[in-house]
Amino acid sequence: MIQFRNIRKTYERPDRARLEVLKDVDGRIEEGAFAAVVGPSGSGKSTLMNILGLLDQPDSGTYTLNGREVTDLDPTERARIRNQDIGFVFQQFHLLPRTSAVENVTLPLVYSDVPDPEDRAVAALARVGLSDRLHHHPHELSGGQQQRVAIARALVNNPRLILADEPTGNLDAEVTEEIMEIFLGLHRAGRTIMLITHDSDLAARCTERLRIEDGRLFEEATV
Amino acid sequence: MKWRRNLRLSIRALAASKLRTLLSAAGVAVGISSVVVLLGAGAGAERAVQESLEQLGHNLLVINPSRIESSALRGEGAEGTTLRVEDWRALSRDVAGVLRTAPVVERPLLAQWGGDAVSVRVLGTTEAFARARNFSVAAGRFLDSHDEAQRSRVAVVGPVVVESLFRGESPIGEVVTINGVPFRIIGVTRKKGVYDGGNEDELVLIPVTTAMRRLVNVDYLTRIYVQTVSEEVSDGVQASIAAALRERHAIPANRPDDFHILDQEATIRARRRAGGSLSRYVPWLSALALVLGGVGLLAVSLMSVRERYAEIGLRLAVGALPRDVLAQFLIEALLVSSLGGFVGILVGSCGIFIGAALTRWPMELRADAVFYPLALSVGLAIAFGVVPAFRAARLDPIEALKSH
Ligand SMILES: Nc1ncnc2c1ncn2[C@@H]1O[C@H](COP(=O)(O)OP(=O)(O)O)[C@@H](O)[C@H]1O
Ligand SMILES: [Mg+2]
Repeated sequence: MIQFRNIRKTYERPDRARLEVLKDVDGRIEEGAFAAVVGPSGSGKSTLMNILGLLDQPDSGTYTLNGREVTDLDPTERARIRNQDIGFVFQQFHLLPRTSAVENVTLPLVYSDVPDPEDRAVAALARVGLSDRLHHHPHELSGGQQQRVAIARALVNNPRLILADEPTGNLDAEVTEEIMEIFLGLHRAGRTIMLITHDSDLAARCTERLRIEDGRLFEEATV
Repeated sequence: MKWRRNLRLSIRALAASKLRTLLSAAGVAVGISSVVVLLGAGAGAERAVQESLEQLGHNLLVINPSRIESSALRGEGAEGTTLRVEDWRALSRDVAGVLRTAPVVERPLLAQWGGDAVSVRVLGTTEAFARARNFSVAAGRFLDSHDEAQRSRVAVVGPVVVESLFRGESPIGEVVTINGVPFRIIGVTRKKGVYDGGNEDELVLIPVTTAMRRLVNVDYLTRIYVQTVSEEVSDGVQASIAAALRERHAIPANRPDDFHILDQEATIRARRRAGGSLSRYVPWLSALALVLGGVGLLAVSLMSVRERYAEIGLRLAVGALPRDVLAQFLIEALLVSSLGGFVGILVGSCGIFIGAALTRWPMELRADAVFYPLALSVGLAIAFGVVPAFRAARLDPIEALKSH
């Protein structure tokens, strides 16, 4: 479902030296896979995810998502794909403060045409086990619960692909396990998931592992 | 984009940061309320002009004799004597553009009835006076040409005279004594109020012929009212009158007029226009207040955008287009500004009512003092909300998401 070739991304640093974050990387993630992306800090994991999530564009290379070449789409179409086909989960949750869980989850539906946004949000929150916290505001929720609201938000438009950038980076071991259970559940339900993590135990439980190092992408053998 | 959904979220966002919302709405409210008050003051002034004109009579010229400058005659009786009855008749007859004229002989005198006496202003005049000066009778009738021809000893009195001399009872048919001369009261004028320092309701109006022959025994007039057919001809009529009077009075070309002509309407308008330095600064004050309100809105909106980088990044990530973000921040500015506009109109209206009640400055709430400021607050939102909105719309989602 995800296939990319020769993806190159270079940043110009303040001292004008060029930083080659991704050097012509190729890769493939099958439909229904639960792929972990690992690598040292600053190796380009987030950069790759932003490109695959259509938030960023590579300097060169091709990218096929769900069988469709998306490298050269216009911004409107890219936004539509982000809205319909991709769910994002971030390390910092990025929930709107002073806004209830349900309303946070409806946010992606503001930019789509689906009917009954409230019902969908409630259903999405039920899937992450937060049926009893629908009207709580973020500051009334624990870190793990906040991240679950964020996952519900990623799910609300029923996307085929979930991109999670260190979703447990700010959470302790116990809560990390809860979140991992949710991802495993989504994986069992057939969703394609890409999980960036520093936690090798979590990576070990994924169906495949991609390691980024020195601007190159390696597929690690399953242990 | 779903407008209803986004509007709801905008309202949520505003409600979520109440202090910030109220702060910027307050800035707009101050600007708008000052516009409302200033418009109210303007409307009041306009109304005052209308009322003055109503009281005075429309398209009216007043001809007065020049005061006597000779030192021997200066003092109490220094009233000019140059306006003659024949002048008045000639003006009505000979000058084009004149609708009607009314002569006036005026004296402050005592009126007596049943052992009481009050001081009144006695005006000897004609039937035309009522039309020219916008007088009408509340009871009885006004002076007519028959009274004038017969030099009848009849009088039309003002409501103040009725109040003070007759204790409010109907005076029609009663006989008052003025300067020892008995006058039968035939009418009472409708209440008019105070104009230019004189109370228009304490007049006693008698035929001009009676006044000149039987009461004060003079052959000159205190003034002549000339009503022109329209405001436009006023200047021309003034010139014609001046020429006619100079000729009648045989004034040599190198001598000044022995009379002067006043266009009361023009005077009132000019006085109002220059009147109160406030009116001259009104547009600037409103503009200043509005700009201050707008700058407040701008500052708070910029702050709001900066504080919500992460939110904007997230919205872009989940499918918002830059124009959706633009629209959202414009809507928020519009909501805040409308809130401020409503509050400002409310506060300004209260200000007008309080001002009208407590001060002598005439104020009035007119419909345009509501719609105009509302339109202004919308304009304000767009003018000062568009920069922050564009700034928000141009953010790069990745960068925006990093700021937290
Ligand atoms: N906008 C940018 N401008 C310059 N350098 C950047 C920018 N974004 C990321 N980088 C650099 O690119 C490298 C990879 O970043 P990132 O993909 O966030 O790494 P990771 O997520 O693996 O920690 C880092 O060295 C980072 O400093
Ligand atoms: Mg990263």
